[in-house]
Amino acid sequence: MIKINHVTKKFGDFTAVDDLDLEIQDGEIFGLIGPNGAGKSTTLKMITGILPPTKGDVLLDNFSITKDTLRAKQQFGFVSDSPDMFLGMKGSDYLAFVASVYKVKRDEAQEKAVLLAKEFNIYDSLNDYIANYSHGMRQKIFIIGALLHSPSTWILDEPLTGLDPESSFKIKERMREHAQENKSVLFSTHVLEVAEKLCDRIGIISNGKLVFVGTLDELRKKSGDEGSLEKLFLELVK
Amino acid sequence: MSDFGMLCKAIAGSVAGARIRKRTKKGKQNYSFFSSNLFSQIMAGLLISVVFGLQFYVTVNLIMGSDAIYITQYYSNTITSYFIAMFGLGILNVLNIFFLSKNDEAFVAFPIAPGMIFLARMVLSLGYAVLYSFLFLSISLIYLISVGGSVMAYISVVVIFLTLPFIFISISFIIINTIGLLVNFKKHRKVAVILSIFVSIIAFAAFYLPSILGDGETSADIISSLGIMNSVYSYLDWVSYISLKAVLLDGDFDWIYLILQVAIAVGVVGLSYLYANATYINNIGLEEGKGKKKVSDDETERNINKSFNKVSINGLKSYVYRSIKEVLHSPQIAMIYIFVPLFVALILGTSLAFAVPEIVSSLPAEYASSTSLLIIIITGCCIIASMTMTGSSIAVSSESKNIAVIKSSPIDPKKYLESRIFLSVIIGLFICLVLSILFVAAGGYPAIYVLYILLELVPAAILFNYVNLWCDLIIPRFNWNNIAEITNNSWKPFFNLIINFIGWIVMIGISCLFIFVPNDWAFIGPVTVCLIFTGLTVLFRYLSSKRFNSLMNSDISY
Repeated sequence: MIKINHVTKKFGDFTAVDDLDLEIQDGEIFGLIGPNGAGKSTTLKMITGILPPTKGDVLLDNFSITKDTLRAKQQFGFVSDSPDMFLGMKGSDYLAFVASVYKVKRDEAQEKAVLLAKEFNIYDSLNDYIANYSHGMRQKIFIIGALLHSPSTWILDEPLTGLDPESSFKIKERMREHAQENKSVLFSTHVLEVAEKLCDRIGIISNGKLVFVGTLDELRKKSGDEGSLEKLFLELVK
Repeated sequence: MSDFGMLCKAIAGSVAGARIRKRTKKGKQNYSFFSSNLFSQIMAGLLISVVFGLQFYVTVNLIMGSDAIYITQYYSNTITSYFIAMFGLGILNVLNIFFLSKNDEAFVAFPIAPGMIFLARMVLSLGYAVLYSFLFLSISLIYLISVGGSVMAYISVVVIFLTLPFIFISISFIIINTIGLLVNFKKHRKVAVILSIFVSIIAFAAFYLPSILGDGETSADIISSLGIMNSVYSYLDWVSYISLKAVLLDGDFDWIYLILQVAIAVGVVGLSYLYANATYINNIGLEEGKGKKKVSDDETERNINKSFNKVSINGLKSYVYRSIKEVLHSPQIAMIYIFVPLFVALILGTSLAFAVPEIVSSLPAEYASSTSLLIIIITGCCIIASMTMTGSSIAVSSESKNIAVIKSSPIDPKKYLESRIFLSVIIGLFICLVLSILFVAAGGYPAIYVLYILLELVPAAILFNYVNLWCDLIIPRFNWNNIAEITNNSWKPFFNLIINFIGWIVMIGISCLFIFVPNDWAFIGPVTVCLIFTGLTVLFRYLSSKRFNSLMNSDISY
């Protein structure tokens, strides 16, 4: 469960996220949608402890990201929007490093890493350097890293970017399965169709403010329109 | 700007660390000549020319006097060493510009004749070589002024100065391209790393060797060391034979050597162009895929097992393993971590070997051995301070984009920080152990002195690394694309140099307090210094950890 309590983020005079208050329940897939620069990534960075909130706090399974940082960070797996990281490591070394950081037992970690690598078709490349991976392969290795310690919450920033259709399908399946296990998934996306088909609830963020939270049906009711999500979204972020 | 000029500029931008980004206060990025790699190279070239030129001038004019035979011999040896150094730098430049640069696929996709890509890279390599050729010019002019060279000799020097870059770069290209036919440098970066380090050590040792061998306070000292130089260089005379003949060493100027020099320059350039046409150009853009072999399932499983063997619940082993892998993967990081310490140890170690016996011999016998022990310890600490300067001074900044993952992971700060300086400490300790044994053996001191020295150097190595780490943590810089950007073009190494310099002064001050401790109480100095270092290590470890925690909770990100 993720509880975002009136979080604000300011960079100097500029307010990137303004008084965001949101709760993502267990068993829920929540999609954060918004135009470029709306504050989606900043929100995810505050939830994951990369940026400290100027005001407010975030609770992950009741652990505060600002006060009980290490325990809060144990609760989630995070995939960043930029997969150009750890380029000097081999895929298998990166996964072993992640297993160490999250204190996963050696055998358990290896078994899961091999299983996931085979599922995402990068098993043969595990011995190669991440620098030599394509964008999609890098995305896959970081997704596997985020799943390795079986976190209760997944936080994914644009997770489907660069993935091939098969892997994209598999990650969506895994997100559904994860939610069915009464765990939560929070992800940001630009692809409205994905949000439409996958999310239990969506949040639309514009200029740092959450302009809508609810199901798609609620959104349609609110606008009094039976149009597509794309049309409703564009009206909201005007 | 012409098309070819634009191509050269684009290729310069693709070379690792060639162009530097700097963020403005408004978050935008701009480019500055003064923060570029080109500026660093120009400054390095000028610095080498001035420092070694000055050293040559002092030796020749102030110590040797007017004995033309010795001056000529010294000049001849210096130029031979310079040639070896230039070939080393040429190989490094060629490797970097022709074989490890980025955007090869993009260049191939453009409607550019492949030969033009080769020529543009050649021009860029030549540009760097010219910067270092100024040392030849300065040394040769000093020599000719000292021995009264003819006008033809001056003209020869200028002609050789102009042709040398072509010779160095073309021959370097032929060598590296030949190796490149057997080894894919991009695929096997580790081979490139080892090659770079090996060649760099030879190159810089070659620059430095004449200044050690030519060292001395009197003309007699110089002439004596010249004997050693001659025996070393008698095997290497062929390296610079034609060029030296063309500079009129023996008073009988012969056109044939000058013509040969120019012919060789034109010949090797032509040869390298033909060679490139036949081999290099066809392979541009295919380097990544070349040599990629299918790995069997068994091998993959073995490698996965190997990786996961590093998994440990306390995390430190895995953190250290990650840091070491990163260093070995990048030629530039490896240069910073391994080459710089070895180079500094070479310079300071050899200077120390000459200086310590001299200082000790001037002291009263009852104080001599305890004082010499302190001198060795203090200078040993200085070596550690110098060589850990770059490695640990970018320990956290070198994370770059990784910092986002580090910040979002439940990482133990102390273990993380220990892992970031681990390699620097190990390299520092290894070099100090070797130097300690050598000094004790060379000075004929009791074997127990090795333990005394190590009693100081172990906490000193850890202390200096923590000091540098703490400096890095004060204002870390993560927005770089290439490691060269933060080492060549930021204030960090300079700031750390100052910090280390202050450290040296403090240690010399401490040593002054114990300089006249009687020999029977020799252990007091090392024990006191050990306690001070240990206390300071604990303090800086605490400060680093505190600063890292505050960094983890700050806005700082990539």
